[in-house]
Order: sequence, then C-alpha cells, then structure tokens
Amino acid sequence: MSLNLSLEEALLVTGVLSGALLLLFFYLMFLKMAVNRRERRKQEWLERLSEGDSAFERYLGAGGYSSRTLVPREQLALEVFEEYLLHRLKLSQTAGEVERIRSYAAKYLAGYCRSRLSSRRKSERLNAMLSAESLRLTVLIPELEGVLKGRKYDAEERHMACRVLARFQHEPVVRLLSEDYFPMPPFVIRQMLQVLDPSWLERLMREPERLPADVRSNLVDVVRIRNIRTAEMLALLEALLDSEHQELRIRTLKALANFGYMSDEAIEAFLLRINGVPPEQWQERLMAVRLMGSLKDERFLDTLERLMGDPVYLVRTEAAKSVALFRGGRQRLERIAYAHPDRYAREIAAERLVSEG
Amino acid sequence: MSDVLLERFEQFMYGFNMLLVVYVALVSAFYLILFAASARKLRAERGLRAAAYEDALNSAFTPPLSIIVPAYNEEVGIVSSIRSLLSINYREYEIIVVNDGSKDNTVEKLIREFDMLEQKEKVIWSGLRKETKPIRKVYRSRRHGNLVLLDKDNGGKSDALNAGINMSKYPYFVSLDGDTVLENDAFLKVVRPIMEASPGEEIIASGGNVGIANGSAIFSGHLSPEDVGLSRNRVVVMQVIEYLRGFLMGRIALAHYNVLLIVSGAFGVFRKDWVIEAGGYEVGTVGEDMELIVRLHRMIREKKSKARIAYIPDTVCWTEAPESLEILKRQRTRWHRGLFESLWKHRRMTFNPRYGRIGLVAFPYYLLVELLGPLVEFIGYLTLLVNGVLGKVFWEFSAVLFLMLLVYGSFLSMGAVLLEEWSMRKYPRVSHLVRLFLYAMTETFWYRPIMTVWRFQGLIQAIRGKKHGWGDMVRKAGVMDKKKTG
Repeated sequence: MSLNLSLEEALLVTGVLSGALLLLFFYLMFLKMAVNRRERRKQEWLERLSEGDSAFERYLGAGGYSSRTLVPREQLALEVFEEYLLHRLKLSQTAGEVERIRSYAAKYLAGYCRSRLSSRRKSERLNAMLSAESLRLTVLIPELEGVLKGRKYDAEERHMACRVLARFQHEPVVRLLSEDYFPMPPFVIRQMLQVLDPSWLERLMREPERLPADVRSNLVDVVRIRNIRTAEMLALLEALLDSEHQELRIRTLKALANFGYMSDEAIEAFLLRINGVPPEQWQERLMAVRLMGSLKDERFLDTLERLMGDPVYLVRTEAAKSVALFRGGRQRLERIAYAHPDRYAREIAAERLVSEG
Repeated sequence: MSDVLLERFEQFMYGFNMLLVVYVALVSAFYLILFAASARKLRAERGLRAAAYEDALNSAFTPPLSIIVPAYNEEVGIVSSIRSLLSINYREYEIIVVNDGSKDNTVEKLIREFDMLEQKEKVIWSGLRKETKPIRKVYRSRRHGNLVLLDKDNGGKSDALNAGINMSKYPYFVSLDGDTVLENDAFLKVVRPIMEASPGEEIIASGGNVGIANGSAIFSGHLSPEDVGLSRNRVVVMQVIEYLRGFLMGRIALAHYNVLLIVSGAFGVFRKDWVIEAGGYEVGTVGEDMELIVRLHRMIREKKSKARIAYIPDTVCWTEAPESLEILKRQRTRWHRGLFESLWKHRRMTFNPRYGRIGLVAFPYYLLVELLGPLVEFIGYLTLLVNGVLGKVFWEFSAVLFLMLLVYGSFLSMGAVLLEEWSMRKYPRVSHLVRLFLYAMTETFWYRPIMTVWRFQGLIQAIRGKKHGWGDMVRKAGVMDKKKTG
C-alpha cells in the first residue's frame, strides 16, 4: 500500500490554496491601506466643505457665486461633492438652496451618475439611481428607461428605476400602472404612487375597474396616506364603496374615515347597505364603524350601538370608541353599560368608560 | 493469530482513514459552495447606501413592531438598553420588557427610571395557546406610552418570550436579548424583506448578522462604524472569526435557498400569527430560537406555503462574547445540546422528501456536519495518534488527514476573514485584518480541537439529558457601555 500519489496531491492542493489565500490577503491588505487613506482624505475634504466660508457654502447661500474650486477635477472630487450635496439636501431649509444644489448637480454630476448606471457593480448602479432621484437629474431619463428594458439589470434595479421615473412624473411610467402594467411587488406600486402628482392619481382613480387589482387597492391607501382631499377625490372614493371587491371596499372605508367627510347621498347609501346586509368580513365592519366615528353623524348612532354587540371584540371596541366621539357620547355609553339588552355591548361600554377615565 | 488480527486492524484503519478523508473533503467542498453563493450576494449589496431602505422610515406601510425583551437579573444594563431602544430609528413600535422572576433589582430600576405605573385596565391577550408562568403585574410607563413591563414568575427565556407574544398588539414581534446593541438602522434592515415581499410571498421571520462587541467602543447603547474594534483577547478574536465563518459562509447561502434553520435569538423579527399557530417558543429547550425556526419551516412545508425566512447579509446587532475559556465552554456545550434537541425533536424530517430542501439538504447538513462533525473530528484527532504507531503508510494517511483538517479549519476561516474584508469591511483598521488573518491560520492547531472536545461533550450531555438554565454569560462591566471622555 502506498499513498505517495495522494500525499503529493494533498500537498499540492494545500500549497496552491495557501498561495492563493496569502496572495489574496496581501492584495486586500494593501487595498485596505489605500481605501483607508482615500477615506481619510475624503473626510478631511468633507469637513472643509462644511465650514461656513467654504466655496460650496457661499455658492449655496448667496447664489451667483462661482469658483474654480467648485468644479470637480478628479474622481474623488465627484464622490465628495455628491456626498456633500446629498447631505446638504437633507438639511436644506429653503427652496433657493435646494434649487442651487440641483442646478449644480445637473451641470457637474449628471455625467458621473450616468457612468455609474452602467457600472459592473449592482450597488453602484442602485446608488446612482438614488442620487439621480435626490438630485432630480431628469437628464438621465433615457438611461433610466434603459434600465427598465436592459437585460443586465435585475428586478430590484427595475423597481428602483420605476420609482425614480415616477418621481420625475415621467408619463410612460404612469402607464406602467395601468395599460402597460407588468407585475410589480406592492411596495414598488406604493412607492410610485406616493411620488406621483395628485392629478395623476385622480386620473387613475377615474377608471378603477381598468386598473390591475394591486394598483387599485394600493391607490386608495396612498390617497389616504397622502391626505388628498379634493372634491373629485371624495366623489371617486364614495363611488368605490359599491365596489364588488371586498378588499377595495375595506380600504375605501378606511380612506373615507381619514377624509372625515361624506356627501349626504353617500351617507344614506352607506347606511342602507350596512343595515340591510351587514358585511360578512369583520374587517369591513371594523372600518365601517371607524368611518361612522369619524363622520359623527347622528344617523349612525343606532347602528353603532347594535355593533357594540358584534361577535368580534375589535369591532365592539371600535364601535364603543366611535360612540365616545359623539357629543353626549359618554352619557350614551353610560346608558348602554346599564341598560343595553346585549351583554357584550354592556361590557364593552363599561370598559370604554374606564379607559376614558 | 495476532498477525491476522493486526492485518485486519490495519485494513479497518485503512478504510476508516479513507472515510475520514472523504468526509472532510466533502464537507470542505460543501462549505466552498456556500462560500461562493455568499460571496456573490455580498458583493452585489456591498456599498449600497442607507437611502435604499430609508423609505421604510417614513412609510405608513412599515409594519409596526412589538419588541420583546426578556430580562433575568439584568439590573446592570437594562436601563441603558431600554433607553437606546426608545430612541431607535423606526416609525411605530412598542417595547415589552418581560421580567422573568429576577432576583435582583431589575423591576425596581425600570419602574423608577421610566416612571412606570401598574396597569389596572383589561389586558388583551393575543391568543397564544400556551400557558406561561403566572403574571404578577403589568406596568406601563407614564413617560413613554409604548413601554410596558410584564412582571412574571420565573419560567425561562422561552416562557418569557411567550408571555411577551401574548401581550403584544402588533402583527410582528422582535425577540431581543437585553444586552444586544443594535445598529442604528437595524429595524429598517430586517423589516426590508418583509416590506419588499413579492405578491404571494410571505416573510415570516427575518434576521441578520450578529457582531461581537468586545473591543468596540459602545456609547449609550450605540456603536458607530468608526468605533468598531477588535478585542486583544485571543479567545474573543477566535470567536469573531467563528462568527464571520458561520454568518458569511453559512447563513447567507442557506437563507438564499430557504434552508436556514437559525435566526439568532439576539435579534430576530417574526410574524406573530405564524408563531402563535406554531405554538410559540418551546419551554424547557436550550436552543429555543432554532427549534422555533425548524417548526416554522415544518409548517411552511405542511401547508405547502410560499412563506420564507429571510436573512440580511449585514450586521444588525452586536453582542458580548465570553472572554474566558471557562465561560465559553459552558456556552458552546449548551449550544450543542440545543442543536441536538432541535434535531432530535424533529428527526422525522431528516431525509424526508415531504419536507423538500429542509428534509433533504438542511437537516442532513445540520446532522452530519454541525451535530456529528465534532464526533468525526474527535475521532479524526484520535486517528492521527493511532496512525502514528501503525507504520509509514498510516503516517502518510495522517499527513493527508492533517492537511485536510488544515483546509477545513484554518483555510476556510482565513477565507471567511478575507470575504468579510472584501464585502463588508466592518473592521476599519489594517491591524484588524492582519490579526484576524493570522489568528485564523492558527485555528486548526488549538481553537478547533478545543471546540471539538467541548461540542463532543455537549453531544454526550444532550444524549444524557442535562438540565439547563437561562444562560452562562457573565457580563463584563465596560464592554457594552463605555462613557465617552473628552
């Protein structure tokens, strides 16, 4: 029995691996030294830029100021200036400053962002899109459209491009939410809807049945969160209460509760529906009860009292909370706690009175 | 006769040596595959700016969280831990501190520092169908409306977590150790997979890398990137290397294929309804975090669901590691007992095609490599000794086996150190890289054999059924909270 061959092979493999690891170690060590040196230089530069009398501060403050030091002449300068401007954007209080930042970025940083959009590293490409979004580099719209179509970009990058193009109010991207829809995760749809101009949202709401289900339900949520309170939006929301899609009705109820107002006709129609055929899903009853508390219309009180005896605890609690919001709500709760024929309703009224103090 | 016996024994040893070599080679190859999968994912995400997930900061769709902090005899650090939690970067959350029958002044300190008042009104329980030890009192802070203290009889960490789940009001809960230091945007990072789930996809648990805090400068419960340091203690340095290896080369790749069986108990986010349906944490188990994840995976398969368990390839929190071999030994034998218990409890999943990749890949991996690996390595070291007395051929076997163990031990760890440097660069100084690399080189010669013996002991203890307590960590003052000078 001889293992000469195996031992030699093992030694060879080990030797090759050791060599590779050592080479990689030395490479990374020297790279780290270089990166650390660069990082120190970058931090020092950033500190100089943030001094009150720096060229950038004078440019951002007064406007019209120019200096050769504002022109980036090396790669590091582009990085530093971009980082500084993004940081300043978060702090900037005045429209004038924001405008000057974006104007500078369009002049000197657009090319830098453009080149990074075709970087080999995904994180570089994503960072470039984030910068384009913050700095409003609308000159990069063709490149961002390229991200949507290009094969080298993955789903995450396409989603980011959708969001940035929506931020730029780029119409073809709005069509992606309707006639040109391709399946997108809900969070992408929401990100797009949250940055679109309200007029686009109204346009989408006018024909909700033509929208994909995901877009429709997220659209209502975003309208609520953005607190868009126009007469047209109210009419559109009221119309959605009749939708055959349960999920959409629930979100619409929530949105209207946030709105805090409904037309008389809509209130009558709503009452007829809820007293005629109460919603099967407790979530819909919960939102209906919340809406009633938000509107505080006396016509709702009997329905709310009845729903204080709902089989689901959360609905009962919400109904009691809603009753408490009405004028004379406390007295009403006291009467319910004492005299309501339903035990659950009496208990929840008593609980509510204790919470109210 | 004795010649025949000797020849038989040599034949046996020959076969046995071959088996060991093949085992070590296969496991090393498997780790290299995991290494390649992790490297790809890490490289893609390296350098991604925080702005990519800061959307979650302001979004109304960011899921609210119930942060459950089980506490047992934590009077030393509990106040600063809770203070740092109250200032986290997140939109909506509640903090439920569960005092698990502490014998020190944990409760009194919390009541005093946060102006807590006993809650008289009705508490709504979440419906976890598992009894916990009796709740003595519930307190709510008058200063911070989202801070609650649940004071209960001692029942162990799992029991405390269950009580916290039962009290929580939000759809997701966070299990958090009292002494864990979170990164500033830790919650945003772990919640990101949940928010970015595709239609039809559910993320029912999410976790991330855990870093070792020893040697870093933590001020008021916060650790800035420039303050990350590397301890001078060699036991700690070896644990850093171990953690890097485990997270960077193991968990990232396993999570990518949805076969990860562990989300660290130090910090993890869970969907409450799934955990309630799974029955909550198992009381009386050592590795309650792993056991719960295994049960969740089981539920996913049995329900034929598309749910996933996500893993963030980034450091989300920092924890204190043992600095002495004595405490480390207690920790590692306990972890190995926990691993045994989880695998034993769900043993019918092993090699069971009904459980898909969990049954056919994850379980065999954890069984044959993680659990029985120390046994094989232990026998390997003994084999090296036996080979020494058998003759020249077996010396060569020893040499081959030793080289394989070198690759399996030191080389993979050196690779993990370099992968960390290439992808994450959490350790800012060149001296950190040098020390980590040089220590990793020595792993096969001292640290790995020690771990092998301890884990082997843990396996024996588990088979014998040893009882356990809350944990073995002895906190060292000043590791988790320094005072800034100057």
